[in-house]
This record gives sequence, C-alpha cells and structure tokens, in this order.
Amino acid sequence: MSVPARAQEYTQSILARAIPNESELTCGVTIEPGKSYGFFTDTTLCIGCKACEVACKEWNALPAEEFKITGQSYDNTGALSATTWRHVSFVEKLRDDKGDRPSLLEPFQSNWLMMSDVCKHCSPAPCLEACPTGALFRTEFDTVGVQQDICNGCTYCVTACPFGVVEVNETDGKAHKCTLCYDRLKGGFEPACAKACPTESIQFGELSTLHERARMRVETLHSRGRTDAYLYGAPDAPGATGGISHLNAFFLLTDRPETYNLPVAPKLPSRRIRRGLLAGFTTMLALAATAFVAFTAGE
Amino acid sequence: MDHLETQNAPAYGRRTPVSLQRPSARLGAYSGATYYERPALKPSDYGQLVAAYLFIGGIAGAAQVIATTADLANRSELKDIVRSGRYLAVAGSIAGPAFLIADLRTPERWYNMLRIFRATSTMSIGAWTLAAFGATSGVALAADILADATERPAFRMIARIFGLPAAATGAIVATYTGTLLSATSTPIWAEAHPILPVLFGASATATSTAAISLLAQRSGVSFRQHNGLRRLAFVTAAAEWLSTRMLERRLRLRRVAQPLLASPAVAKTYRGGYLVLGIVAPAVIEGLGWVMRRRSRTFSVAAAVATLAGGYLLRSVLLSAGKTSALRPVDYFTNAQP
Repeated sequence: MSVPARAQEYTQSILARAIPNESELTCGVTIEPGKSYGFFTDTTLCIGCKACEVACKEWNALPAEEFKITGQSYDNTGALSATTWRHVSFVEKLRDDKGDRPSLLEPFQSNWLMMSDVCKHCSPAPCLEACPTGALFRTEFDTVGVQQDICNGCTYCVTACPFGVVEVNETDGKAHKCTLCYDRLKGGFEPACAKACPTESIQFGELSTLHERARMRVETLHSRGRTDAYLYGAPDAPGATGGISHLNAFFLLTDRPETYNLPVAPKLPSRRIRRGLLAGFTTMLALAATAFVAFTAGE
Repeated sequence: MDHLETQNAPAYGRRTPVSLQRPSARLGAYSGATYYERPALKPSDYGQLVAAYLFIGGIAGAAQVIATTADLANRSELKDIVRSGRYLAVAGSIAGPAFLIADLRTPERWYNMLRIFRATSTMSIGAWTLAAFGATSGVALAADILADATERPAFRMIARIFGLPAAATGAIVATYTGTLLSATSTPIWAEAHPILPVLFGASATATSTAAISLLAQRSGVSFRQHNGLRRLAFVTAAAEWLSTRMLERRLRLRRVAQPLLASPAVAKTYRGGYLVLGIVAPAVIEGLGWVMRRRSRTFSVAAAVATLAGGYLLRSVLLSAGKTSALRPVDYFTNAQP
C-alpha cells in the first residue's frame, strides 16, 4: 500500500491533536456511518507477534490475564474471552499424514500456522438475535457491539455464539466482546489491532473492498502454488452457512477450519425457534386433550 | 487439507481456477482435528437456580393448562383440581421469575428483559409470555376466589374467560424452555431439537399432575378426581418415556450423547434419578394402587413425590450435560459440517 499524499502533511512525531479521518492515512479507508466495515485476516501473512492482542488490550483498557504457560506452542493466551478480544493461535504441524517430520517447507505458513482470531461480527449475528435486552446491537458501521449499560448478564448470548466469542465478565456481570473499535471508528480511526499489525495480516476496510482484495489474494496464492488457500466467512464460503450470510470479520486459511478451532458450517441457532415452540405447544395441546378425556371418562 | 498432495502437485507457476463458491467441497470429511482439544464454544453457566426455574415454570404452566381443561369439563367434582392448578400457576409465576432474576449476573437490571421484544430470542419470547401468563393467571385465580366468596356467576365467567389465555400462555411457559436450550450452539441441546420441548412438555404435565394431586389431597380428594389425575399421570409417564427414547436415539445418532449418557455422575442421575425414580417408580406405585383397587393416600403421595424429584433431576442433568457438551470440540465440529 502506497503512502497517501495526506500523510506528507504530518511529518512531526508528536501531534498537537488527533488527525481528522486518520484512517485515510493508515489504511486508505474513509469511515462513514451507513457502510459495512470489517476485518480481513490473512493468516498467510501472520507472524504471530501478538501486536494485535497488545494493541487491543491497550486501547480498550482490558486487564491482563493470569500469567501461565499453556505448553501449546506459543499460544499462552488460549482463547478469546471477556477481556481478550484478539487471540493469536499457533498450530505447529510437526508431523505429516504419515507421521514423519516434513522435510520440505513450503512458503506461506505451511508447517506453522498462525492466525489472529477475533469476534466475527456475523451477519446476522446469533448473539445479537439471542439478546433479550437489546444490549447487543448492530452499529452504524454494520458491526456488532454490546451496550454494557443495558446488559443484565443473562448469559444467553454466550451460549448462542457459534464461535465461543462472547463472555460475561464475573467482575462486572456484563457481556463483553470485540467492538471492532466502535469508538475509534466514530473518531475516524482504524481499529487498534489492524493499525498495529506489522504485516497487514489484519486488514480493516469496507467489506466489499475487502472481499475483492481477499479473492485476489486467494488467486495470487493459488497461482504461486498454495492451492489450499481459501476464504472463511466470505459469502458462500465455509463459515457463512446455516443462515449466516457472511462474517464481517473473515479469514484466509490454508488448512481445515477445525485446525484453527473454527466450525466449517456454523448455524444460526434462532432458526430452531419456530419449530421448537410449535412442537412444545402441540405437545401441551395433545396432553390437554388427554387430560380432558381422563377427567370425563368413566361415566 | 493434504499438505503432501499440495507439495507433490506441479502447482507452482500454474494458475489454478479459484472456486470461491464451494470451497467446503474440497475440505473432505472431518477427521476429528481440534485445536489442542480446546473448547470451540463457551459453556453455559446455568446452574441450580435455572434448573429450579425450569422445574417451577414447567409446573406452573402445565398446572394452568390442566386447571383450564378441568374447568372446561364443567363438573363440580373437578373444582379442587381447577383451584389447585390456578394456585400453582400463580405461585409459579411469582417464584419462577425470582429464580431467573437471581441467576442474572446483574439482577438489579432484570426489568431490561421487558425493554424490547425480539422474536429471534427465545429468552425474550419467554420473558413476555411469562409476564402475560402471570397477569392472566392472577385474574383467573382472583375471579375464581371471588366467585366462591360472593357466589356471583359473573366472577365464575371471568375466571373461565381469563383461564383461556392463561392456559395458552401456560402451554408456552411449560415448553419454551426446551426451545430456549435448543436455540443455542451447545451441541447436545442443539441436536436435541425439536425433541427437547416435547420432553419438557410431557415432564411439565407429569410434575404438575403430581403437584396438583398433592395439593388436592389436602382438601380431601374425591374418587373421580383421583382416578382422573391417575389416568393423566399414566399418559404423561408414557409420553415422557417415549420422548426420552427419541431423545437418546437422536443424541447417539448425532454423536453428542456422551455428556448425558456416558459421563458417570450425570448418567447415573439421569437413569436412576429421572428414568427410574421419576417415570418408572411412580407408574409402578400408581399401578399397584390400581390393581389393588386401593385409594391409598400413601401410594399417591409417594408416586407424586417421586415424579417431582425426577422432574427436577431431569432439568438439572440436562443443564450440566450442556455445560460439558460445549467444552467438547469434536461434538460440535462433527455436527457443524456442510
């Protein structure tokens, strides 16, 4: 990405105030309400530096996790949680299908997969659909946010999420997850993780642009020999299934989704409501008819 | 994806057509891969408070359905059943939400449940149905009591009219909880769709029949009433048994049964506590009473208490099985295939 002309206007290292529409300088995106924004996370570019995790924690003032070594490669974060909204996973492929150590290293993360996971900002979003208070809402940037001043901690969004993202923090009793830096978007800033990413593995932008860019990237990788590269969460791709039309935060992967702890075909849980309620009501109607007979029989 | 195959394929420099339409077709069958066996989902945190609500809500909803049915049968000897059912409905619509509110992580904001209505949220549907159920049940009971006190037929009419929406919402209150669990991503609950609400409906009717018979016994139950409740108890026990067969079969078929049927503590409680104590034992006890042609109060009380205990245990084990299920990535991934 070339340096935008406007960047030449800001050559000093300490600025007196925030740059208006800074995102135009950092990622070439003009953030306007009413448009769809998201993340394209290209895992073939991820180097596992965890700058996204740190930037997210810093900007969103999220507390550190308990210090622990998991023994699972370099992944000592473990999973997304109420206080961790970016999580870099590490998959070391030390054995091939025959159980041997691979003798050849292909380019683009062939034997060591790294992926920065995040809330997928599904469209439609199961957590949002499940929320009975309206605390979870769709923003003017087509992302999904939680209003902690409305959430009453019913935890239903936690069980609804098909990606295990949302969590209720036991300290404050409210649901928390990635907001796609709602506050930064409002101020014209690129989300913290995308801005901090040194390899442009995390790209922020307007969804249609990102889709186009991602398709070109897949084609490029295929032409260079990485024919196993595919998109996860783009329309009509794995991850965008079962009533979920697309994920606003989508990924380029090179192995099965399960390897990265992602389901191939997540489903929208709300699709089971109508038939479920009908089955229950019919059962009660049948039992009521039985009760009527039971009470009036034996004349 | 097969890496060796990619290595050996003469793919470098060659332009491969990109199929973005159906990349899932290239993925092949799921082989059981996980990410360090880490959970792919967050487990529910529903504990005994929610189990108590599922139990109480089921009794209350079904009790109103039974009461209204008995009321529509229009027989004076069923009066105690009607009244007991209406009492249980009102008591449950007060006690049930109390347990629900106690389970919230921010209980002082319980009223936000009634801030919006969301048809895609079973929790929202349930909250509003519960509110309507409580209100109509309250009017029906009050009118029923006033009818007795004042002997004015108008009150009896009001009770009967309000009994209808109370029973309709009661039917939902008794069963929506099954849908509430199924409309999540927790594998064992999701795959139990739509059997769970059927099982909950049967169990709710069984437990409320037991609760009504316990209440009605206190006011000296008539032979006909006793027989009516006993017949209903048999039918609901059969319905419960059938539902559990269907449920178990489905869970095994979808390979998510382990947390309920094979994990030692839960499986023991499910089989011993629910199937044997909650369904088989009451049927045998009532059956004995039937064969011996005895209207033994002890028999009925024993059967009712066993049914109630079993009904509670069913809810409790389903919740703990759900918790375990969400933590098992293979259970989830196996069923999240195209």
